[in-house]
Amino acid sequence: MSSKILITRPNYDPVTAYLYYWASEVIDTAKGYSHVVMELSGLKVNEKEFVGHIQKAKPKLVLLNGHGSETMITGHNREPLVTIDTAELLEDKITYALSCSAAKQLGPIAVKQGARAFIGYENDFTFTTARNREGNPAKDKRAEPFKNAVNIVSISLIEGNTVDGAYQRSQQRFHEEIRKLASSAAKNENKDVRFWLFWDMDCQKYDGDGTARI
Amino acid sequence: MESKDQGEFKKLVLVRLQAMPSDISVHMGSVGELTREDLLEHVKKGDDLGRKIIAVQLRYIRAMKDL
Repeated sequence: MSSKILITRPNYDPVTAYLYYWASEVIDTAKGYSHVVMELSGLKVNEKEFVGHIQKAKPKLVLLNGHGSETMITGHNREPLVTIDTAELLEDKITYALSCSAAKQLGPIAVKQGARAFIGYENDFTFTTARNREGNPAKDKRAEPFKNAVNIVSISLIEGNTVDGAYQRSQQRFHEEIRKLASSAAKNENKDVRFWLFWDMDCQKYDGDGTARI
Repeated sequence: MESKDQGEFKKLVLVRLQAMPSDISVHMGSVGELTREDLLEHVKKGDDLGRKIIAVQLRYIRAMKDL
């Protein structure tokens, strides 16, 4: 069954450039499943556009990419899109926030205010890059394990899996990426990436209904 | 004041960080881009980030057997 999905993709600094690129795979998957994908990217990732889309289109799944904190998730130039004071915007939705720390306070508050579920990270979301590849996220092998592990949450939800299923698949993918880098076949200089994958795996969580699906 | 064990573990964390290649950047949302030298400095200083790195390293080492 087709569902409405809202995805935000700011792209104004090195971090958001990577998240912007990673989200392309998610959008392609969503379109392949015939979902209605509403994409806010670049300058359009502002509060007015975000709230407008939430209120008019009433998406079932909200995928947020961007800088955040315990109390908010931001868009272009760190403009707040949703905060603990406007958490009711996420009512009746499943939200996945690829943002720092939002699962610490915003997530639980959103669920208390009616969000079906909120998947995110309780700590700073962290990833590694190769310094000579930072202008080209597509070619950066140091960042690829992170893309693989975090995208699987969105992709799992798009495929119709439950919130808990999406979370478990992502945790498993983190494990797999860490194990791959521990193998003797992995280059030595990539093995240090493992700790930072664990960092994200360790702080990933969800609140709300684990059986929810779109 | 650090206990002896905490001090020893901190040294271990510093050794592990020192082994990181110098061409890796660690992007940590609220903090920004960190080099190997930045990470070492935070751990040596024992500031909020330094303590967080040590705490997660401890969980990581314990989890390694299952990973």
